[in-house]
Amino acid sequence: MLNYAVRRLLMTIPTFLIVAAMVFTLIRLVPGDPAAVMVGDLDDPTVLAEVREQLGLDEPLPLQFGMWLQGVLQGELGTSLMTGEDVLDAMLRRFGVTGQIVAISIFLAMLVAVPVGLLAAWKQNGRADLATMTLVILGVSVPSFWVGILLILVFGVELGWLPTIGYVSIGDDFGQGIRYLILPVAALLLTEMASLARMMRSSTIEVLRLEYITHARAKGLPERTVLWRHALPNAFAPVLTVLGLMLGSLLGGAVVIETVFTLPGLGRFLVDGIYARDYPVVQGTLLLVAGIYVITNLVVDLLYPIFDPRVRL
Amino acid sequence: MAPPVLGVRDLTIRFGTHAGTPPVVDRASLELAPGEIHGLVGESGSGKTMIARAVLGLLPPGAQIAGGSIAFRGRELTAMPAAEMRRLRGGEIGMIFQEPMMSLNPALTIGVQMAEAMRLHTPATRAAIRAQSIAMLERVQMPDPAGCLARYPHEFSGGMRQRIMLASVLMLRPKLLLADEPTTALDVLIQKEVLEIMLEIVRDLGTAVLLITHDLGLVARYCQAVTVLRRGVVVERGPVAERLARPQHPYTRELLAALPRRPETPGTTAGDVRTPPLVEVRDLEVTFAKKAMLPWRRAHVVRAVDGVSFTIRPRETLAVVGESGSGKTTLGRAILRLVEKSGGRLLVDGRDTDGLGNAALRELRREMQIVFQDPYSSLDPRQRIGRIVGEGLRLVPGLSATERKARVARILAEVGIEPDWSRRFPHELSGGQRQRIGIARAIVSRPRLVVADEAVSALDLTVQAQVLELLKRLQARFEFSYLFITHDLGVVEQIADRVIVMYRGRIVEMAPADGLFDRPHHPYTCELLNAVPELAGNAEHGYRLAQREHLVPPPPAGMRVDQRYAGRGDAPVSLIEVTPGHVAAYSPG
Amino acid sequence: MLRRANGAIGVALLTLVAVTALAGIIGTPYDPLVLSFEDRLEAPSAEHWLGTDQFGRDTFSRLVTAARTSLAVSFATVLLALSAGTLIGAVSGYLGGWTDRIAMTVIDALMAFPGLLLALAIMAVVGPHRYGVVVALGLAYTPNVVRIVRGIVLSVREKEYVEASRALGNSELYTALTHAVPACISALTVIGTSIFGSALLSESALSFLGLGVPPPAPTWGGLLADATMYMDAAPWLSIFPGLAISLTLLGINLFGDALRDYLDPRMNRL
Repeated sequence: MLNYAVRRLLMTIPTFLIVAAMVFTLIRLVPGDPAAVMVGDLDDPTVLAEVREQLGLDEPLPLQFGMWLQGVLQGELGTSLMTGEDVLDAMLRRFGVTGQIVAISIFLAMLVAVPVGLLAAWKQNGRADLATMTLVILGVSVPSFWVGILLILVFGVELGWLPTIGYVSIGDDFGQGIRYLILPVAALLLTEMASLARMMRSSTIEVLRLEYITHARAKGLPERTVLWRHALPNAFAPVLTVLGLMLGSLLGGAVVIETVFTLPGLGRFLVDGIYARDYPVVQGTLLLVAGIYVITNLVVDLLYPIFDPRVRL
Repeated sequence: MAPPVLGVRDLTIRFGTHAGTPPVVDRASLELAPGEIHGLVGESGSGKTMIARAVLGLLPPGAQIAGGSIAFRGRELTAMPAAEMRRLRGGEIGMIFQEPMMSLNPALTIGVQMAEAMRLHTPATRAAIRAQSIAMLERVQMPDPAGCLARYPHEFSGGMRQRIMLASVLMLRPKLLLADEPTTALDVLIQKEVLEIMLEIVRDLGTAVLLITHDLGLVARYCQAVTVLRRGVVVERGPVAERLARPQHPYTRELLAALPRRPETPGTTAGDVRTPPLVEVRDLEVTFAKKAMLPWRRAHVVRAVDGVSFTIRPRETLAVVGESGSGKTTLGRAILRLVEKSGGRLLVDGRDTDGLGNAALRELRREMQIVFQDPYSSLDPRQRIGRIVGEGLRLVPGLSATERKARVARILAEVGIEPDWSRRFPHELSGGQRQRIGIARAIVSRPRLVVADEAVSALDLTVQAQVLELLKRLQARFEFSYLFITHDLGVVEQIADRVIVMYRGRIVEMAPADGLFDRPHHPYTCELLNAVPELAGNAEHGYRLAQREHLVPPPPAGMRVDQRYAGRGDAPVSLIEVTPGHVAAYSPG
Repeated sequence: MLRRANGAIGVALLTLVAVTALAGIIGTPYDPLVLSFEDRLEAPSAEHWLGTDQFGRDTFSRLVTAARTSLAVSFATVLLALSAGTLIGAVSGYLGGWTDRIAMTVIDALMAFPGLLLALAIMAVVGPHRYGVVVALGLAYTPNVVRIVRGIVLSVREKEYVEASRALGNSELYTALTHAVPACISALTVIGTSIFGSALLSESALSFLGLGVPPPAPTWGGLLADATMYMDAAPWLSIFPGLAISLTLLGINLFGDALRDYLDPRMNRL
């Protein structure tokens, strides 16, 4: 077990290095001189040269990368060109918002989708299964940002029940904070629930045809026990892995949702950074999001043996 | 006479509700007295598993009981409510499945899986269940029974898992045990151990057993009564000894005749010692590096083939016998250079294959071909038969398309496949037909050596007999040699001129077939031969169980029995010639 | 039975969208780009079936024109991702060893960037351009194809029929082309369909964020983004583009499931 954990941990190092290199290179590929962007319209070659020197732009690229990486590892991601804030501080503050809506929606989606997928698989091709699957295919076909817009139309514009724009931290005012979270979470929830239920169902169908399920039934166990004790852990393990791999698309979905509801989240930060050509912000956000992905998948893989003890790689 | 434990009468099972679909079980009847061991014999598709599943009320989706009755100790099962049925399942009727690798839940500990049925069917306390589980594991001879409870199925070998299955099912003292090919997936020696443990316990408990199997030898050795099933219909039933001695139905006679046995005419002159060998293997070694857990640890090296030397003579059939992990499959692959050898030499026609260039190597490959075990995975499902067989001729120089087609058609006819089937895909063929295609692909380029890797092991008995016959005929016609790799001693006895017995990567005995089967010298060979129940006899006088009881002969002067086999891994061992052409492994001293 | 009906519905929906998009080449009721300020924000009527936008442009004509853009971009993305992914995956899986290890680490790193964010970042580099979107999305979906193709190649390599082919003296390249590549084809059609759906969704999201195909060319995402500013005055503007995206996606998903059932009947998924 310890070996597996260490091995898995070591595997993340090259991945992370390449991620960093990609982020670094991407920004270097931007047409134009980063220093010129920083200086702005000021047409003074001496100022430009000064800034270039300050940024280390005259050094060879690998050295620049090394210097930059060293900074990154010490938490120095530079300052925003727009606002002058420290990029790391600004990101962490905004990450709270994104993390909240993504985590809450995944949690709620699992709560519904796991039992629904399990039962649909159990009654495969039954009426309840067909109904569920119809809802699922509709669910995965509707883009979450459109769901968000429809929710605003109905609950904000028509009924006026919930706030549609902006954000209040649940730390500042819990009740109000929750009210601001409901619609964005609901918008993400629908798609996630549908795709999770679909995965859970197909994974359960696979498991239910295995011999140990027949064996469990041959012991006289009631169907309830067969499903929850014997099928669930084995069916959930692959879903967990896919969930980790899906995190990327969830964060992507969050970007658009943050725009729909004008939430001050990480995605909005990135999009604003791109509009403003604020490269430290773009660089920092990409690095953070990729880092989160790498770490989440590390955690998922470390959790995997709980559901499938055969994994000892 | 006591009332039967199980009475199946006129049972009919069908897929789908249409009366038109042919039933998978057709008006089958059988009866089990208390404590009786009853063999249910049939080939694949005979419906034998369906009957067992029907008894438990666990037919696969789509299958339905269309008629007849199943009575368990006088109670009708076909119309029993689900809740009542569940009380019988596991409690009074236990079932053991074929694949020990598949029938235990990988996510739950042995302890949990053993306890759950007990908790369901008995009022025993947690502590009592634990004590009973340990006692039961001890009974099936599991090492460290208390420790087992906290471990997961993947930590055990197939044989161990099947013992755990036995323990967990028999712990509830069922009145009836349904054992569906319980030892088919296991090696010969383990198969015997597991079966004998099972039978000892059921004898004590007075449990009746329905032993579902394809193996008539097992039935003869362990069962009192037998039912033979063919395509869902019972064709023969009665006491075992009587039915074997005087089989009534032609199908039973066919099955018995299909059992592999030693040819009555003495061995052919093939494999004359004086002719120069076709292939010479010297000190062959194949190692696999098992990747280390951590990058800074050294890779763990497994010696699959460990210093093996022998020759293959022109036109002979050399069999390689061994259990799983003996290295026999790797040996075959290494000779064909499908896996790289890590040491030793390989000579073909006296020429060392190491120095050969690419072109010469390709030439050489055409001379040595392989037939695989699994007729399903050995043919590309997306290619037509003609193309699959024709692939063997692709690299034969100077062959026109028409010539190639004609040769494919000729070889198809030769293996008993209609030449106009060359437009068909593999899935349109039966297992036996696919295996014929695999053989055609191997011999179409007229090789001089064919490696047959468990080539008949996946086939039903009657099909196996036909394919073996075909292999023999092809050899006589095209004059090539076989390296016949198998775990099945019966097949070896029927087909081999000489036999190599392998154990953990090395040769422990090598001899002409008759010598090996009549006077085995190595203790491992003796054990293997003694473990297999055989049927002796012929169609005229009937069949009976022939149990071999070989004793290990005393070692030659100055030698001791193989010390490595006895457990001393580093002991020196060498092959000593005991009679001309017959060598066995001994340790000096 | 019902499953087959689902596939038929999927094909019907896709045909409808495709035919409408192609019909747009011949002509649309109104010019999708011409401004007409007297007709601003009109509700659906006999003249303007789906109403008009804030510049008085006909929504139906704009939707039809946008369909062409969305479908073309998604289709090009699929082609790019499939060809690049198959090449890299097959080579990496077949060669194995260090090539494979390096390729897979790079692919792993690439997968760490959420598809949409990667596309966003690439758009930031190449600037708003139609082909930029294709390159960005194609690159974002390539890693998935690489992994799947590599997986198939690895499993086929272990198959006995490949061993038999090698035993016959055939070269690695020949076995790869005759056995491994055909094995990938059915999987590739299934992944292709699913990438088409994802690409359509991402393209809409990009244009919604204003980082996709640049204006004035109409896009479904762009129409939706414009509509959000007039949710009080003209709520119907928010409905139709979303409906267009959803129906197209529904068509793709239904078709994709039917395709998968057909190609791999053993997997009885929906």
